[in-house]
Amino acid sequence: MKAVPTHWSNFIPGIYQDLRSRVNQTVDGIFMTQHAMEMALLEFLTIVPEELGRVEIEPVRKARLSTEVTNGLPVIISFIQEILVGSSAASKPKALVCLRSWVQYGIPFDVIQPILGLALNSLLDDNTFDAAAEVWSEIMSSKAASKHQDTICEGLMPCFASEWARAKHLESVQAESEDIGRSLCQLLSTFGDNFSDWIAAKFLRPDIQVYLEMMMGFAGFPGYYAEDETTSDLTLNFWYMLQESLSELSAEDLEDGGRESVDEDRQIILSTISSASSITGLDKPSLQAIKAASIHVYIRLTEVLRRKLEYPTQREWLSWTRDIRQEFSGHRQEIADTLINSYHVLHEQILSLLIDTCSQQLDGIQKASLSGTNLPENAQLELELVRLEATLYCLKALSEVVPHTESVQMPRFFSDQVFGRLPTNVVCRTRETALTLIGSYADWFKVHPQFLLPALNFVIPALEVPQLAPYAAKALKNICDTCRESLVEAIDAFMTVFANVEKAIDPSIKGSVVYSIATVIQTLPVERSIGPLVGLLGDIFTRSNECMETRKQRLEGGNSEAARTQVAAANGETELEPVSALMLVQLEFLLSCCKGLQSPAEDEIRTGDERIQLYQRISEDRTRVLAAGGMAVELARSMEQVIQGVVMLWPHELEIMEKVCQIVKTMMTVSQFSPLYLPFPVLIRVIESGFQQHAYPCWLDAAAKIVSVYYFETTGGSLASKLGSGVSQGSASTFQGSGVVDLDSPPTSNGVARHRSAAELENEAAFTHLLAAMVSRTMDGMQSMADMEEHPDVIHSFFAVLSQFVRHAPLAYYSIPPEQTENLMSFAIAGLSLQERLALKATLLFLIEFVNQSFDFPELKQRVDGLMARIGPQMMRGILIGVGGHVPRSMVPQLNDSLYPLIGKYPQECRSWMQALLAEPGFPSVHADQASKEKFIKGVLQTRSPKRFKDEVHQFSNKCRQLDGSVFGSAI
Amino acid sequence: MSQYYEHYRKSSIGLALIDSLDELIQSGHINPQLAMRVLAQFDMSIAEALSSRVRNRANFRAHLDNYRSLDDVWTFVLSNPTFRFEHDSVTADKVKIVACKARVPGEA
Repeated sequence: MKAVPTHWSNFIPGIYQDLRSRVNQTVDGIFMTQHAMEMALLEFLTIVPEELGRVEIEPVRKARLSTEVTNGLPVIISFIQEILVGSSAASKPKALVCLRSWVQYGIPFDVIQPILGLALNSLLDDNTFDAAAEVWSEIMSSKAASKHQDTICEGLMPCFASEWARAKHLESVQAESEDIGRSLCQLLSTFGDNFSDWIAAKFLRPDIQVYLEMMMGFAGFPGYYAEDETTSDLTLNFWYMLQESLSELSAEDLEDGGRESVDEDRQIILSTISSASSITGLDKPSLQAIKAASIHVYIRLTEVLRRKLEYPTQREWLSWTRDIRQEFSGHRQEIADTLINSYHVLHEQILSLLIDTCSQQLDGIQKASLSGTNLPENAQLELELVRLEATLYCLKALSEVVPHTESVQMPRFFSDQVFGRLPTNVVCRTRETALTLIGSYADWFKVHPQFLLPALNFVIPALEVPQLAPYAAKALKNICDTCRESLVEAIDAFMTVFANVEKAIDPSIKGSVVYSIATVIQTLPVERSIGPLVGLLGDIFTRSNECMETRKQRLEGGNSEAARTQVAAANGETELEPVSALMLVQLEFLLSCCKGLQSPAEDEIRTGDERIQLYQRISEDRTRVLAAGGMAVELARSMEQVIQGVVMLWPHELEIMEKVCQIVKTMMTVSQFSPLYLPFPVLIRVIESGFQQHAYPCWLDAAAKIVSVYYFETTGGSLASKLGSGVSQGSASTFQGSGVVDLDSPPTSNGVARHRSAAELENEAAFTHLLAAMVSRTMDGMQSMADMEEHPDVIHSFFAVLSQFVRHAPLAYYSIPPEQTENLMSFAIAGLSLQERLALKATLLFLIEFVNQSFDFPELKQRVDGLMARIGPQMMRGILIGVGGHVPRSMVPQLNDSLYPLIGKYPQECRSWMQALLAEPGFPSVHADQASKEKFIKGVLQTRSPKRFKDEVHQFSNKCRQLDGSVFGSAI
Repeated sequence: MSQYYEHYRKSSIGLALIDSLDELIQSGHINPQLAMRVLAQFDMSIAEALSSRVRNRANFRAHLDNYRSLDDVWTFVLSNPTFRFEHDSVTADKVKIVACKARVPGEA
């Protein structure tokens, strides 16, 4: 291609003439027949367009090459035509492959138009069908297809409706032969995918009905998907496209009245997208007739798809490989999506159809059950159950689109006549699907609470059956979570049922059940929630106390072997010894309960005043409820004993401490009060003592959360309310000689600051103490870079918690001893040398947070500025070394994000720091010359455009890494 | 060479590859041209792997804040989406979906 046309002009006609002239001659010792010439020429002409698509040459040469090709097109088309009308059957498929190659290349439609008739005829010949089908698939997928829609569709439809095509379709379906039918199905599906608007508009034509019939046949291709066939899958997209096109017809049809319900946005969208009815300008009666006919088609489709959903017998299923089973299950999902499209055509009718089917199948099950309910011995019963499962699966799929207010068909389904007859005496997949179905209609139950009780009566007994328990637990969770208000009245009955099944529930499921019940308890007033909570947690607290007592005795016994928490497992690794494992399970249940008790309003965004009011109200609630004594106090005490006891007894067991931290974090809420939730002072004490005993990162994560949740509410609100308006009054700094904030000092400014209560000051001190303890403990354990490299998880969580303090609690942050703050900053700068992404990213995010802090309060501003003056040069050095190649290139954006605000806030200082640092030879990289350093300084100091700034950093970083000017340097 | 989307370069695995290639360039084991070829291969392989090897499915529901289409690239900004996987679900405050025209691996 690179030789054309400079060194090889007129290359297509040239080679065409050359090869033709050698027919019946000996070339390089080989006699060239007419057939050999044709095959060689076709091979060449097939490769040319493929190469044209790949060739990489400059645009001017490409344009000249295109002209050459355009000039050669008549020769090519005429040659293909000559072969297709000729008698050489062997060359025809090859000619069609060549034609396909040119269509794929994108030659104009009018160039191929003269041979379209021949390409159509080729569809009706077994010898050429496959190749012709590929040509047509390519034509239909081309950009030009929509412009020539009528030509293509009117040309293809007679072929599709021909005796030949129908016979081929019938033969493939009857013989269950994919070899025969797959190309035809592919062709029909491609046609449907590309011209669904056209099909919808001509829906009533007999040839379209034949076409739909064939598509229906392929959709229900005999056999199980993946195991026996992979053809049926090809049709699914078409039914979706057709439904869309039909709905557009409806939209036009309803233009004069029915659109009132369609919102404005949808009307705009409907008017801009091409509508099938605009193709032909169909009148209202025709549209209605199409609608009626489409209902008939989609009813049939629903039945066809329902059958394809059916599982094989359990014995056959177990004989399939894992991959095949997965593919089959995936295909069921695809069918479920297609059924949703059917719903948009059929609406209530599809529900009616499926519920009637259910009812009939239940009759069949009833009849088959007379011969016994042992499935392996009752093949008929198994078959009936498999059929029912498919129908239930259809109904489950439709839960996505069935309106929650549907009040005709779904009540029929959940009535005694259908739902009440679902099998409960056999353990099978049908019950699993029925349970999933119940969970999927949780939103519907919310509007129809009268059906909740029968549904729960179906779900709760299944919790005791190991095979069904996971499905039952999930259904229960969905229902309780969604319908919590409706279930409140039945809470006592609910607790009784739970008590009956509690012992039989597998521990792996019990957590989910506890969560579900807790979500219902959450809606009760606090006083009313105590009883159910005691019922729910009584056994859990008893077992927890037993575990703690045993552990305590072992520790007191002084036998180190008995005090071990890990033992060797069967697989050669270690695992928790039984008592510790049992404790972990109880903690899991407590966590589930705490999560369930969380209010759905937890994530609401509130103003500062609202947060403070809410916190005060919850504190008052706590005082009032606990003052009354009784079970509430017992509950609160039990929870505190468990949490503090576990921290004391298993402080070095990571799995257990992580679970405790999760519970502690879940309790951190200001949305509502529960006696189960420990108050802020206890929580902060637990975190500090836990971390002091063993510096696990989970404690740091808990500390990060406690700062963000409680600092504002517990310490007196915003900085302005603590420090005044922020305008300097020339008063003495509240930072005393020691550098610690004097929290008892009077307001510093114009009297706006309010006096904080003793409790608020105590809380402020608790935060400061927590931070100081964490900094001290962490840095004691990180004496060198090697320690930092070895514990990236600790570094990550440590800088994450520091970021939270800088953001939410700057007073606490600057109240720790100044030497500790400076050590901390040096530690962060040292962290810039880390290579591990997790730790490095957290370090950089902390520095970004630190640099971005901006205070109007002179006390804080002076402290920050003083600190920056001391650590600024080192920070700049760390950032520049990172930019210069010491830090992975993917982290340069974060370095950029810390450098940009740094220069913005301290431009003069940064100029001198940068000039001094970059004057050092070989800094930050030996590849950065003086000119590039000067350009970098000038670039970053003179622009305030974030984009230009980023470009300058990026360019300098590439220069330092020897990537400047390379494509790879600009790869991200 | 055929063109593939480059947006997977910013995924975790893409960034890790680029960082590793950087290291190899710095240490003189490879040159940027070879690194570029590796990256082009990555573009191709990740597209192929995602189209042919991923079998998991997820559904999601969300509020569609806005959407746009430019040069065959559709962008959807969703708020409060819930992604439902087979056994799990994940929520987020905001998600941006960038959808590009699927290309058959190997085709331009």
